[in-house]
Amino acid sequence: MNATVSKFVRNCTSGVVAFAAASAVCPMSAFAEESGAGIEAILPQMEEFIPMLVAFIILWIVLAKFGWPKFEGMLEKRENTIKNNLEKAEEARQESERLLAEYQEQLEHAKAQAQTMLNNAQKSGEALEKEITDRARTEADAMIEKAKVAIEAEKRAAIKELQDSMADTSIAVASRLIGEDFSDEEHRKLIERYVKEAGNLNA
Amino acid sequence: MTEITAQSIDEALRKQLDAINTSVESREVGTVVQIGDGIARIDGLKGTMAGELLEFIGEDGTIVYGLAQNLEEEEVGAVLLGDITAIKENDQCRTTGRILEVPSGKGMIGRVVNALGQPIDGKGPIEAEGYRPIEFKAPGVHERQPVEEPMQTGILAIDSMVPIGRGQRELIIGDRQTGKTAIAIDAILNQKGQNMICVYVAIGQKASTVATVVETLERHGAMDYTIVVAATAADPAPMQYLAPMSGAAIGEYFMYTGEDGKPAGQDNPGRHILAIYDDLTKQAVAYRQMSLTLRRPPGREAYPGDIFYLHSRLLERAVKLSDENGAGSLTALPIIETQAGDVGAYIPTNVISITDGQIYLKTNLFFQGQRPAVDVGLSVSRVGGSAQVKSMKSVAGSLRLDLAAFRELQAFTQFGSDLDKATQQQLTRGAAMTELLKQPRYTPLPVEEQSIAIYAGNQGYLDDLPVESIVRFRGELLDYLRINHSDTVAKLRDGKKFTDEIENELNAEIEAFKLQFIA
Amino acid sequence: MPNRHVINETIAAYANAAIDGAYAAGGKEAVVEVRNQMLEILGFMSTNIDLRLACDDEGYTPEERESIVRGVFGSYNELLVNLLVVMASRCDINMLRRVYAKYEELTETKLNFNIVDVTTVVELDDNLRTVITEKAESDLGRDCLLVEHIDPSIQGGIIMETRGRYVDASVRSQLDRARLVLKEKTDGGEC
Repeated sequence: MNATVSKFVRNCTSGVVAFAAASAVCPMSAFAEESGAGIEAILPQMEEFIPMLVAFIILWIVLAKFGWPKFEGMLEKRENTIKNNLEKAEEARQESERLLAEYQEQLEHAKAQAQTMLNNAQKSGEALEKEITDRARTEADAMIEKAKVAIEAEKRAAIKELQDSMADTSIAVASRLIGEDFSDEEHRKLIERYVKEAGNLNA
Repeated sequence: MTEITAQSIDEALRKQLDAINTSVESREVGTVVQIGDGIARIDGLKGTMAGELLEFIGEDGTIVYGLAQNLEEEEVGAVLLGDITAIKENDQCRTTGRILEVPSGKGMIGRVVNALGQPIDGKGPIEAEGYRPIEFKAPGVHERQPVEEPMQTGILAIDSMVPIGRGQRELIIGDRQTGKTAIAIDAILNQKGQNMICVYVAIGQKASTVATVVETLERHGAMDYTIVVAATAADPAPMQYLAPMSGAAIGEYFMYTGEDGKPAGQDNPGRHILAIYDDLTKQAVAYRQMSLTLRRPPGREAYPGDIFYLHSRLLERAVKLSDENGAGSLTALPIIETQAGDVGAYIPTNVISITDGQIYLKTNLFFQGQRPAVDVGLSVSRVGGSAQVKSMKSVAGSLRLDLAAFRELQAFTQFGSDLDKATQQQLTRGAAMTELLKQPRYTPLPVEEQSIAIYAGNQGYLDDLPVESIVRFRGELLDYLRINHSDTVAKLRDGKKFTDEIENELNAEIEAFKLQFIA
Repeated sequence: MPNRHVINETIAAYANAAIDGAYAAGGKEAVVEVRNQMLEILGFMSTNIDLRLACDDEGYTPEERESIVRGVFGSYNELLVNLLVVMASRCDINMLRRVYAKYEELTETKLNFNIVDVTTVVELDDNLRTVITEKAESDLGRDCLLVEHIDPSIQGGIIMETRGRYVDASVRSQLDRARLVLKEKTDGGEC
């Protein structure tokens, strides 16, 4: 129904167009009539009307046959373009919505990552702190231990020194006694004893 | 705790009193006919052995020891160890029948001693567990086994590309002021908890330098397993000549005896020793002085003919003993100082040919800020490769290639600027890797962390970082992994190689850290 | 520098001349006297570098060197002085120490006796002399002549010495040894 109407409208339109075109083709005779007066001015004159009608019909037929389909093609094309554009717009909208969601998701992710980084850093910091305190403690312990060892060594050195000086003193006393208190006779006795004790001269 | 009481000293003296022996044996004596420059010429003493310990008796009864060196037809040439001024011409000299020995044992650890093993740090006497002869014949072939365990120095550039094994002899060579001693000290610091005893022998250095080294070691807790043998520049030449050998002898004691003080064997493992001779150039100079004053004929650069033998028999004492002998080891890190980078001089070529590789330090690298200034192109290790842990071996191979390509390209591209992408890529990788090898002093890295750092570089994680922040990146990455992902690090440490699992974990963790680092 | 065998021959010649001359002149006592004087001269020479150099300086004529030696050592045994003069004229004074060593060897091998230096604080009496000689002869297996020295610095006891072998039984060295033992560490430092 709609199609018939549109066909009819289309035909009528083509008729109007054909008429306009026909009148455009034969303008001279149309203007020539204007010079007449009274009612004739608006009534068609048969001798003009018939060829005009014929021309009109021929034009109509020609246009309906060849011109119209082209026109219709153009219309259809336009219609399609518009439809496509509409579809694309819809797609773009959907895409942007998806992107938005994605960005939001990424943002969430980044936030979470920053949080974990922060946590990590905190953890690292704590671990580092623990390590440092531990190290400081062991170092302190080691230092104390070392100091103890050093004190011990000092003590030993002191004892050694004391022992040495005592040995020196006692030897000095002994040699003084021997040097001063021995008589020649005692010396000779000592010599005799030593000669008997001494090792082989030819060893 | 020791108590100082009159009674205790009295007791000690009484105990000693019993030991006094009044019997007199006859001995061989000679007379000093000439003395000077720490050398004595002695008349008599026909029965002296070469290298025998001699006893000189000074005027006031002081005893100075000497070492018989030249045995000539009518006299004996000897070097004096100790107070040279106490001995005069016509003084007596006796043979002892002993070769010079140094005391050794646990009591030595943490102490500073002279070349005769006597303490010079003022911490009292040392109780010796045993004595070792200063000259000792190096173990033969069947007493050894190949070098297979790593001796980690904790230095990235060395452990990755010039690996050192326990029982190896690796020379550290370079000009003055190139950080030779620094490498040695770092190596000592890294032996903490590695079941190693370190012997640092300072030869001909300033006493203040030695004091600084000792202080550094003490500050980092390294004196708990270190013995310092010092013959400073002020000591007579014979002491400087003896110091490396007595250092080796002190170390050998630990290698040849187990924890219980009994000789090491199949089920009584010997200990592991790291001996550092800093430096043998000075020992050679001291030996040259000694030889010239003993009137031995001079050879090239006026060194005596047996200077090669001196160094080779010292370094041959570095050993990895077989399991039957307790499987102990003595790793030697001799140091040689070159003049103006001339490794072709007499002593450097000698020692290079004796050792199992060298770490070559360069002045210009040092001043470019590449520290440690190891020239990775010229440094080699001839036996350490088999001692390297798998994880390190797998990453170090491509590191070596990257650096070699980098060096080659660097020389090429100094003129042109139009570079294709692959070249550019290689250049950035090389620059990043070179930067990665920089390491400040006293910061040794455990081997698994080293391999992680190199792994990160190999995987290209450093390529897009600015060069100057790479060292910081490495440090912070390792801290981050140690604290947050200690399980991965532990897996690598215990497994000693990169598995797919560890690699995946590491990739994820390094990426995560990098995000944080860039932010 | 001549071959060392040549040098050894020269030294042996000097030593033989000295010992034969001395033995012919005064028997063992003269041999001991020459030996003691030779030791004195050696001690003096080793502390006087100018003399040592002058005696061997080829810048002087042999006659000048002879007169130096005669001037310095003129008061010694005639035989020894003559030997020194010959040595000086040939610039061989630096061999004197080795000549002395050879001389000592020859007393043992040629004359079959030993000279034993004995150092004490007090003079020996006859009893001690016999005791010491007996000990030395039983140890060495040949005749012994004692050369006595008095040295208070040894503080007591006796030092016997012959040809490089040395028995030090002096109080001084005993005390020194005791001092060393006392100063040694006791039992691992724990007192």
